[in-house]
Amino acid sequence: MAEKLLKMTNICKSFGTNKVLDGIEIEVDKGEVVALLGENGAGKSTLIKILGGIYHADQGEIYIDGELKTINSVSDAGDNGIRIIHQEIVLVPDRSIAANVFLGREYKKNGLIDSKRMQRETQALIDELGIPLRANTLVRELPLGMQQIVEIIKAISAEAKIVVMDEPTSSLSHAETETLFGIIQRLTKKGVGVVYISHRLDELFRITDRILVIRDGISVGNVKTKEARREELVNMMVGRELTSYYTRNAHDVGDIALEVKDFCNEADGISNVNFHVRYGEVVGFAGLVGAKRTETMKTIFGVKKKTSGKLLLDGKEVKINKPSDAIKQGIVYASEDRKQEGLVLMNDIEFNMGLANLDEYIKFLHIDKKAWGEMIKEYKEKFSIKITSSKQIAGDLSGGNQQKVVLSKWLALHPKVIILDEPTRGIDVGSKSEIYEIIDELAANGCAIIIVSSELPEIINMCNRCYVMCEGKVSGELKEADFSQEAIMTMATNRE
Amino acid sequence: MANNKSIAVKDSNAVVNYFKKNFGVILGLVILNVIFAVTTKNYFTASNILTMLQNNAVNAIICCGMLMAILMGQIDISVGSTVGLTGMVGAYLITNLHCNFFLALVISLLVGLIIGLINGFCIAYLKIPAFVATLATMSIGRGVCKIISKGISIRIRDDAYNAIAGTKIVIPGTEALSANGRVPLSVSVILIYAIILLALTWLLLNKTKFGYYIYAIGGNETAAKYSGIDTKLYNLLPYVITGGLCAVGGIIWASKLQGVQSTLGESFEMDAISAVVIGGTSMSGGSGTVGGTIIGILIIAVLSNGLNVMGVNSFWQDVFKGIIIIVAVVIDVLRKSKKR
Repeated sequence: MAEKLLKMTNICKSFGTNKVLDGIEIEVDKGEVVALLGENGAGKSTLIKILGGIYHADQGEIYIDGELKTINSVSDAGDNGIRIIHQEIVLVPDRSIAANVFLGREYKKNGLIDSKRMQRETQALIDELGIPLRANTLVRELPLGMQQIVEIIKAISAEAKIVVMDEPTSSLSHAETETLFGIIQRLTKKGVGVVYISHRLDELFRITDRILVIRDGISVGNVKTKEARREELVNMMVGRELTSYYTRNAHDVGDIALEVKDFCNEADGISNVNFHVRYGEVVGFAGLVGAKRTETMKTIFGVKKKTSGKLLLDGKEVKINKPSDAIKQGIVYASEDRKQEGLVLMNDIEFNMGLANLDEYIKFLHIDKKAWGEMIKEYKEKFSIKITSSKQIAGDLSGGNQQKVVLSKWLALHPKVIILDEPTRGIDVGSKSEIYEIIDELAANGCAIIIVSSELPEIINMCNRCYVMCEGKVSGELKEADFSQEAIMTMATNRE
Repeated sequence: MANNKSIAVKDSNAVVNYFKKNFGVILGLVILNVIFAVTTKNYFTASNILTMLQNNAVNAIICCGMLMAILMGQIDISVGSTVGLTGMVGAYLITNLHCNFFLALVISLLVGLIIGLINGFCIAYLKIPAFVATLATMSIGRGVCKIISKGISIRIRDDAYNAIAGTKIVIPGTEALSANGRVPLSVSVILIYAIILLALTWLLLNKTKFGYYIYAIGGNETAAKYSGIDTKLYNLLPYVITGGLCAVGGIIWASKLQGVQSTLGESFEMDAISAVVIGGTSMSGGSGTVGGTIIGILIIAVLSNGLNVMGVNSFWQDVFKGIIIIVAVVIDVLRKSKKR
């Protein structure tokens, strides 16, 4: 029997105490397309980054053509014929397709760049793949989807054995997707092995030979695509045991606090979003990456511009053009990206906690250190934030404590509506549970809460109601009684 | 470790804190002083030191604005040109148009504020990179300055105007410290202007919302915006203030020289940027203090004065200033990378 093209065995990887991969196995044959399927955070990206030499595995072996290989760097991966196509486009926009394809390994003639030869070879490759492109076109002039295709051409232009595609179709149109599938078929005919990551089940059924399902860092299923059933895959993906660190007490739900009507933001592809949230209610927003949940919330908060639609607060229309408008109305947004959008990392806790509410603490040359200090003390105790002094630098805190600082900053304003975007992302289990307690207490105090989360158990266990988004639209609404991971995932992958 | 440090910082007083924070630059300043005091006879005299401080007072005033621009992670290279233009406008109004003294001051100040407003608007609202925007206004300002002067220098004969910088405060009982041993020392009033403006800048940065916003924008503009801060407005305002400070500098410098040439203020931006950067302000924004900047101003002052007293050619002074900047920034980078 021929050796497997790629074999990764018993791969383990931890970040701190968090075990992301726990003995995962993957095999790819020559000319085979293997799908990697799993929820956000299941460990797909980590696995791929280990193969690509970006991360180093704590344990486990990688065999290529039956030979044990050590892949310590991106160039090691390249030398072994591994090509990874990431979701983000990393091309030089003002250079031609040919210049991008040969970036870093340009042909030379008499010590100068031989651009004619590069163009000729790029064009030959493009023609071979049957794509209607000219090699001398500037990348900037191409639509986003075609840029993604150029990225793929670049990856396979050098001798490739294994090509990994991470959500390659997320920015592709229907026609471009077909082009991509054409490329994949040509690659497999040449004996290249393809690892294909996508949430889109339809695509997996069309293009892949085998589907590997991973969950919480372990392989939970390895099925031939022909024999796989959709429901079975979804079950394998989400079927984890629900842990019991959620806090949820019954309390009354009041009037509608915020109502969003026919909300559109064309630039971000958000169309006709309708939803509402009541006082004392926790409303979840589920969906896959690219469902535009964060963009929707940022548009409500005034960071992004809406193109049409209305916002009603307490039944009255409010105009929000910038974050300060939203804050004045009592709507606050705790971003999913604490480090970039939540905190000034180089400054101390006091600075960060007071930043959204300086009017309260600074009155012309007089800083009310007492009130400021009391606020910090109140939240420090309430949320058991582990800090030794309010002068500690925010960047030095753990993820959980940083998140509590961000929450304190917002809650000190006593908002009517609080939007929590991935409130527990990258946070250890202990802090997570504490944040759930905070959310429950907030709801008990009558705050209207919106949680955007990619962790389904979080939504199922914390929310009264949830909306599911898919590609910039609300694709469904579920009441607590109807919550199930399967139902949510079906709505989240529901595409026409 | 981290815990001990933060507790120590909390308990120690402001002066100790200041020396701790600025240890490197203070040490540099002391070393420079020792070198010049040992190698030259005339450096470490009371009158020389007073002259040195007076000659750098305008730089100190400009630095108040430059510090804000750099704290936001930006820069203002138009300051020297604005000093020149505002000085020229004042002199032209007084001498050529026989304008009222106060009116001349007000118009000069307005010109400075308007240049600052243009800078701020281009940077904050039109999103032109600060370097490019202020490069353009630098060129415009210098051009207008030359147009007004027609290339000829303007003498100022207005006594009130010349008294702005010419007023001296005699310190009684200091006869023994002066060069000839008979006349008591006197402090020029421009030193007092500089000290007042530095103190006001400290208040502004440390005791007002404005200051907190500047640090927040410099540290993380997105987080500042998400916290409800009008980042555009607070990006613009420091430039307006800087324009105003440059006008004050221009008026003082013109008054001190009792006349204006079209080259007034040329390369002042270099000294201001140098002083702020040497003073430990990060070019990427968010961190830096008035206290550190004062040390930076003093280092620049000591360096040029000391080299002068040593008889070093002024062309060489530029070379030394450049080297000091590189050393200061390398130390800053090393210190930061060590932290990580």
